[in-house]
Amino acid sequence: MGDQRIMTDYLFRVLLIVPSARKDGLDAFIADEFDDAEWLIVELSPTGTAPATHYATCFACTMEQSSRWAERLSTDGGVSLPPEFSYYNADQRIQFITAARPALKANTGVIVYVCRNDGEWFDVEAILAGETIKRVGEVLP
Amino acid sequence: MGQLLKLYGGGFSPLSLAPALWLDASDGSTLYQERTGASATTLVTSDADPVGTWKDKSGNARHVTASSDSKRPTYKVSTHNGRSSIYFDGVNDNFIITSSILSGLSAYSIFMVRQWEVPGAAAAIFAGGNNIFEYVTVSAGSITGRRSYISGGNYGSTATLSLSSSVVSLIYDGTKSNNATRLLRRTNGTQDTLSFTGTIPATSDTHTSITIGSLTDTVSWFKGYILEIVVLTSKATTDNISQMERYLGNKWGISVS
Repeated sequence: MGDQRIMTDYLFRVLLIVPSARKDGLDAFIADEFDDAEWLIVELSPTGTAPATHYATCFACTMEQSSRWAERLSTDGGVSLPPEFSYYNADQRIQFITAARPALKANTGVIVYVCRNDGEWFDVEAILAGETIKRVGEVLP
Repeated sequence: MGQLLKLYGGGFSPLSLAPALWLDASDGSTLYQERTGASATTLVTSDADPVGTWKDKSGNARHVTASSDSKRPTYKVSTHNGRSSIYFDGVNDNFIITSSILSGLSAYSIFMVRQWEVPGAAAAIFAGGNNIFEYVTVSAGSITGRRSYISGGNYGSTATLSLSSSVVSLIYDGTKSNNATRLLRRTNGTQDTLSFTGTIPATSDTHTSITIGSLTDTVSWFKGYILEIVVLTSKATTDNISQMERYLGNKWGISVS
């Protein structure tokens, strides 16, 4: 009979690392498009000490939400979305965003990682290490 | 037959101990995608669905919610003993509720089933202000401190922390005379040896919210699975501790001595 489980609508897992200068703009975008709560709350810096130079968030999103994110990031980053992007399946979208990552980073400083939310996730610690950036501080109770 | 049921926790329900909070990840009827608490309507149905509301089974309606869509942890199907769980990503997943249930108490008890993964930085699972169970510090990719707090700066530490799924219990009794009798911590039915920093107080710290999956709503994010949490605002008796630990161990397939 095979696997009868219903697939989640949340096909994408996204890690966004945003330079401080772009935080307000993306916060406003998130407030307009998704949620009025603050998403970019994880403070990062190259040394792991304040002040934060970057902010991160990690979240799951749907096909429809991925279109809005891709449009925003490509507009900001000067990376054109292919006309047929809206017809891409989840894996094709991940492939496109992954290929566009270096250009997005070079043009905006924004770092985007995407993987299947219903599959093996990316390794956040390895990504932070690879990007030579650390979480800021440690709060002792 | 009755003795067998008793031995393996059969027939026991946490409700018999009048918990202040009871969160059970294996009960899909308590897990919702929206963050709207009591009014949430969309149940999680599929592996990898986000969990925005985790409803309280204690009868006290202390439903915990994520404070943004980005903070919603992930529903995982059949991960532990055939039961579902909630996975926290160690980046920014947690739940929060406005509550002061552990404030100014002379005793309380927390039972939890969880499975740690090594986080990228300091992390906490359950925190009501400075009433914290469990908190770890991390250095160079390894866990270096394992603490349970009743008040700021005053805590008990264990020398090790199992990364396997475990039934862990924290029993606080401020009426006792010293650290070792005021704070007990147990793993899978066995009392842990604690080393103490500061003085475990006679009365627990006050707080206005409880976070699950982080120290506060902005820092120290837990990475791993939370399966079940039961909070009592009293000291559990020896029999009750044993009943609860056997119940949780049997349910989640964990050997409890």
